[in-house]
Amino acid sequence: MTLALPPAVLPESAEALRGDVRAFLAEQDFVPGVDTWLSSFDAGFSRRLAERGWLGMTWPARYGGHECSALERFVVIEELLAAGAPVAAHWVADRQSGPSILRFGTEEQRQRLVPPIARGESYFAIGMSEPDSGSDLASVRTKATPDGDGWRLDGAKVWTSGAHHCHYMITLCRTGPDRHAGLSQFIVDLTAPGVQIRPIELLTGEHHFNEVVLDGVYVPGDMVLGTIGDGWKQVTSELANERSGPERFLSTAQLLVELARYAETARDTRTLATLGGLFAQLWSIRQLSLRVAGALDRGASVEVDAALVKDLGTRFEQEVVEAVRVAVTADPGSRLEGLLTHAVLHGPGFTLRGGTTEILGVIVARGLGL
Amino acid sequence: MSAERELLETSLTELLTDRCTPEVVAAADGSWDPGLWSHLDRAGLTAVGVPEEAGGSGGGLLDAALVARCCAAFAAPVPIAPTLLVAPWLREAAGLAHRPGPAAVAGTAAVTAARDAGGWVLAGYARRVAWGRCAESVLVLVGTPEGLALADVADGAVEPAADAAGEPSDTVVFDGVRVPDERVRPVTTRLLTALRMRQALATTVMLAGALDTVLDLTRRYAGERVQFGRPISAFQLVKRQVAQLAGEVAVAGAAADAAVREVAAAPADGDPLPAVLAARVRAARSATAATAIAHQVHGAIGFTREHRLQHFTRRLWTWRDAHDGEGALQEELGRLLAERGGDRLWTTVTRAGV
Repeated sequence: MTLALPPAVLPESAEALRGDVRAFLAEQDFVPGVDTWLSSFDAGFSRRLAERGWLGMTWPARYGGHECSALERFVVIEELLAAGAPVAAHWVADRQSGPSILRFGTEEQRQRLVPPIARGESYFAIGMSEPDSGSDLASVRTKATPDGDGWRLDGAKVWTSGAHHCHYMITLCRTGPDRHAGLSQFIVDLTAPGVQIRPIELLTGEHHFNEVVLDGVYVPGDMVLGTIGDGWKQVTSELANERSGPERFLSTAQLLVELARYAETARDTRTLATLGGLFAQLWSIRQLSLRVAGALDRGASVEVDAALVKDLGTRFEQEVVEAVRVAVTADPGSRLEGLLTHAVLHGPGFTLRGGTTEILGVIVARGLGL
Repeated sequence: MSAERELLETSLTELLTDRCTPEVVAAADGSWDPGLWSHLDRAGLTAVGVPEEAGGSGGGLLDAALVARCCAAFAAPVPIAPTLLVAPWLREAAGLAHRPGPAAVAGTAAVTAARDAGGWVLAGYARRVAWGRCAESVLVLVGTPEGLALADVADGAVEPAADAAGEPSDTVVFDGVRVPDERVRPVTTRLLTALRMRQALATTVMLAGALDTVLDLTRRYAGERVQFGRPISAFQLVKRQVAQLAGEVAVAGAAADAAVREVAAAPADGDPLPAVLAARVRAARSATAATAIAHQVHGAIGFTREHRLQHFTRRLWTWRDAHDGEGALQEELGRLLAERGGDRLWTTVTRAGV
């Protein structure tokens, strides 16, 4: 239940790992950015992380995982995000697709699909939203019809980040009329005949989002994820993973770092107070997020708490942009100016993706018994 | 939480539910409740965190903070925070002997001390001394010919006053008060910084406690109050408000806990502590947001003297500005971060005390 999570203390093993990640990052060649888990696709970087054992960290060794705790994983991913590293390629697969297959998939699916994720070679897209089903996810209409030993999928998914780079899309489909019990998940091979991936450009013109049209796509019976009719339950559990992590408050961390660099010389009251206020927010929200990670580690249900942290965290990400904008006068062509512009243009997405602020409010209110 | 601490929380909550009722809180408005203090004292709760060999009840900072947070959650009209969280630590840091009983701390005062046979004689006064009238001893900063010192004073004339929360905030006049030598110790500016950090920590813990209750009251009211034929919690806009309130309360609570742990692990040595400043700033922000939401959801009834809510919102409004303004704290934290530089910003987040 909300607010009842005990404090989490990072184990020493996790802190030791932090040093390893920092040393690794210092040797890598990348331009630190904001919102890199959406927009910085770098398959080579993902593979190098995998070589270090930093993908599939919490998964069993027999599926290519490394049997670490959720808190150790928390430390690794927060270091990557804070550094603005290019983590988009593997992000969804490592965060939610792999865990979903491990939890709901067949033994054959686990053995075949999970190890390549842990090697940083297989990427997944999220097939949830549709043109007419956004916040009201349970209204999805993409249809799966039995066809011989398998299923035939017809419909369209939208906002599928990175689908044009991905190998699979875990797709929520309607298999029956009941609003919730009529939903099921399928693992769709994005190279299958009938799959068409069209870009939906962001307002910047960047291509991360896609529309994925499924036109009579055949999905073999062994690519059903979990149980037919359990799609809603499975998706809810997946969303807790999707919402609870540090990417929900660190998307603009590099902008804050740049503000601190700016403050090194511009020691005026406004800049310092802005920096202090934002740091207080970041430090405090991270403490709350750590509690959720600790609860995940114990296998507790964190749906409500994850929604709460995501709401606070994503509004904070936007606050960083706004506060920095007000506080500084960035030099033309400076790194600060570049990051700020990029962050302003990406800002609206923070409180939309993975469940809008409004939907999170409903989940939290329900958790509070309202 | 350890089993002992859970037990402490349960027994304290029981005691406060019985002895710190809304009527007790309302009756003590502008003053305090010596009866409640006696109950807490008999249960050993007024010396939690003080070592047994010094006459205390044992336990550590985490236990003391838990007691202070619970008392704040009941708006308990007793000087528990200075007595548990500030005075014992300050005495030890300054090299003064432990002293039992309710304590007050006057960190900024216009008081001087002059040598006298076998001790010191004080002159001057301290204003806005929280819980001054209830204290058996006041730790007061004094100017001596040799520099700043801390005097542990058991005497002084009190001119009562109250703050906006309705808690004692008295003027204590020390003219002619004699203090023996062993109750006066020189202090450094580093100790004063450490004192500010300690007071900020205590304030943060108190804010977190009062916030817990504001959420509880607001959630309940939204579920009970019926308008347009249904509870107001059925309205999306109200749901959203209460959900935001829950977030504000949760983040302040997590920050307060983490700051307490940080200080318990690495006691203040006179440097400003990013963790404490961050938690203090964030808790003040939560107080502002939470009081606004709580009053909006409660409507006009919450704005009256008879409703319980005001005992918590008045405390939050007062405590958020205790000792230092929010802007000044933000700036102090920002200056610290700017001095460390951008390259160390993230390492400060992950290891805020180092």
